[in-house]
Amino acid sequence: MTTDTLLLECVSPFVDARDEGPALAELLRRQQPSLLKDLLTNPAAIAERMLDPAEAPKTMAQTLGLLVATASLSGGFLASLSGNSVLRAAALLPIAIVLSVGAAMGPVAATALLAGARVPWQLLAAALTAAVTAGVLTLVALVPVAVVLMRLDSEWAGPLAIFGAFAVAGVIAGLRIHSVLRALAKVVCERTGEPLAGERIGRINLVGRVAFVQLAVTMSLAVWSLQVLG
Amino acid sequence: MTHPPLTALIDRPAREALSRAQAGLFPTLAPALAGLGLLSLTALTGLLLGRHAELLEPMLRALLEALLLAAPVLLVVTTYALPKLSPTTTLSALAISIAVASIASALVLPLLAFLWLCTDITTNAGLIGTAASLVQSLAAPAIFLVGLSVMLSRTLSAFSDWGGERIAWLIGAITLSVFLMRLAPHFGRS
Repeated sequence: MTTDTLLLECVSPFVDARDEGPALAELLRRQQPSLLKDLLTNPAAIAERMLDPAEAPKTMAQTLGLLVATASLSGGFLASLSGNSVLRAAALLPIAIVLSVGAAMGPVAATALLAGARVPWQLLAAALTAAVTAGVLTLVALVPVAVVLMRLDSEWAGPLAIFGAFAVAGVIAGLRIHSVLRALAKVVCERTGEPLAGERIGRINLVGRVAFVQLAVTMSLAVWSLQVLG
Repeated sequence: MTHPPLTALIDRPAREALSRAQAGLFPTLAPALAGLGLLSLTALTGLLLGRHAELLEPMLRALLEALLLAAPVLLVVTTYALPKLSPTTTLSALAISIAVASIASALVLPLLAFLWLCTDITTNAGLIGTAASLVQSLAAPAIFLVGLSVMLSRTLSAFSDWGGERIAWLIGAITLSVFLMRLAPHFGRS
């Protein structure tokens, strides 16, 4: 064991901490890549996963699972605040969010067609789902704020916090779809050897901006499935 | 010197979290399950000593709700703030913190039993009796929740200079406030 491991980890001064087994740095290096981490912070890795034919269906299924689990968790908690049925909200919110993906897909595909930057529909669906899952993960992280504010003031601050959480989640999903689309285009252009510059980037950005607005709006609107205002 | 599994959780939580996360889902979650089992036993004993046995169900429900609300926050915040860690490692760190915090809360049981003995001999009613009953009922979950964020801070700070501690205190604030919020109405009624 090296001394820097001892410095890193807080070890009892009453115990002989020298032992066999790999050091902290070695264990850190051995960590496996994680879908949740890629969804939140690494659009390039998400693009790689989607373009790999063996990996794509698995990624899509895992992303959907994560989306449904986190959305029903947040739906259940948010409904329990306003006295609505917890189970109903836990079932309805994931459905509303999946529908919001479907609703955003049409206009984005239309823009892409007109701009001459067609995105194959499986790729578009996968990219939108990944972006919305990043939004839902943000939503579930903001639920405690809504819980506390709802308890303090259920007239104004509480409902506003719930709407705010959905708005922030929508914006995060929108930002994510823009970056995932850019990463997808970059990987595809690298593979085909086409340069990614000038007017091409302009078209990608156009589709990305429309996707941003669409997804931010539809995902924020999913809050209505909760009927927080009664 | 090899560490037995239990002292390994306590003595080197960071390395244990990493190696458990890499071993699979069951080794990752096992400490949390064992810890929650021990915690329910401890909470039941405390409530029986404090003569508030009817609060067991709302108390366990409030604790579980607090953990369920805090776990996704922990996962999302550490993913952004501690890029070195994978989410499974964070989950494993949380499970280890749950186990060690429940052991810490179980270790106060002798003191609670001693209090029960003393207050029962002298007086049941009055200020001392009420205070003792309150301490006996709430000591186990309070020590568990504070211990949880202390352990989390100890585990995560091995991976970062300052981020780990702040995240741990954020989780502590969330779990404590949700727990008190959910339990307060039941306590007022009895």
